[in-house]
Amino acid sequence: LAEFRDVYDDFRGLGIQIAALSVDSPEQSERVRRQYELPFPILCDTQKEVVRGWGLFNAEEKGGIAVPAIVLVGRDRRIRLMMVEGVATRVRAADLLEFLRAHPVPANSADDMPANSADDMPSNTPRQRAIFPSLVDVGRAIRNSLTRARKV
Amino acid sequence: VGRLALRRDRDALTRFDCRRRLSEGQKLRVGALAEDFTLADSAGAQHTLSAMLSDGPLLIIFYRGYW
Repeated sequence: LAEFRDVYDDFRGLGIQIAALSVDSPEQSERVRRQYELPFPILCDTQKEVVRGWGLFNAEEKGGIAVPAIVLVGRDRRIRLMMVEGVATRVRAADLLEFLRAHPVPANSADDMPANSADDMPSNTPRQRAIFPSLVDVGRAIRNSLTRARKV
Repeated sequence: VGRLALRRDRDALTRFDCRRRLSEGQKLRVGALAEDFTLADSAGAQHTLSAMLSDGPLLIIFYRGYW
C-alpha cells in the first residue's frame, strides 16, 4: 500500500483512481491509512460480500480474508487488468505505473474489444497475452515446475 | 538445492490451485463486467463502484488486512 502511496500522484496524472480494499473493520483500516498516510480510501468489506462476489475470498485463513490482488476497472466497469495472489505480491507499483503509461486504459471496451463477446473470450487470447506478459510467464513457470514435480 | 526446488514447486502448486479456483468461478477475467458494490471507507464515507468510475478508471488493491 505504501508503494502505491508513493506513486499516487502519477496514477492520478494518468486519470486513474486508487482504492484499497480488505475485510478489516473501519477502525483497523483507519489505523492502517493513518500509519502509512495513504492518500486513497480503504474500502471496508466487513461483510465479505465483494471479495466473495469477485471470487477473491480466501476462506482458509484468519476466518476469511481477501486474496491479494490488483484489479484495474475501466469506466465501463469492465476488468482491464488483474494480477492475483503470487503475481500481485510481486508487481511493484512503479512497474505497473510504467506499464499503464505505455498502455493507456481505453475509455470503453468498444475501443478494443466487442463488449458482447468479452464474456466468451478464452482465457489466453493474444490480447490478454499482450496485456499480461508477467502472468503468462508465471503460468509457464508453474507448468514447468509441475512437469518437474511429476518427474521427481 | 533439492529442498529449495521442492519448496518452489509447492509454492507454484498453491498458486496454480488458486488460479484454477478463480478461473472456475469465471468472476474476474479481463473483459468481464465487474459486479457493482457500495462499501464504506475507513472514515465512514460510502463509495459505489459505478459512481466512482464516472471519474475515471479505478485501481483496486485487495489486501489481506491486518493480522
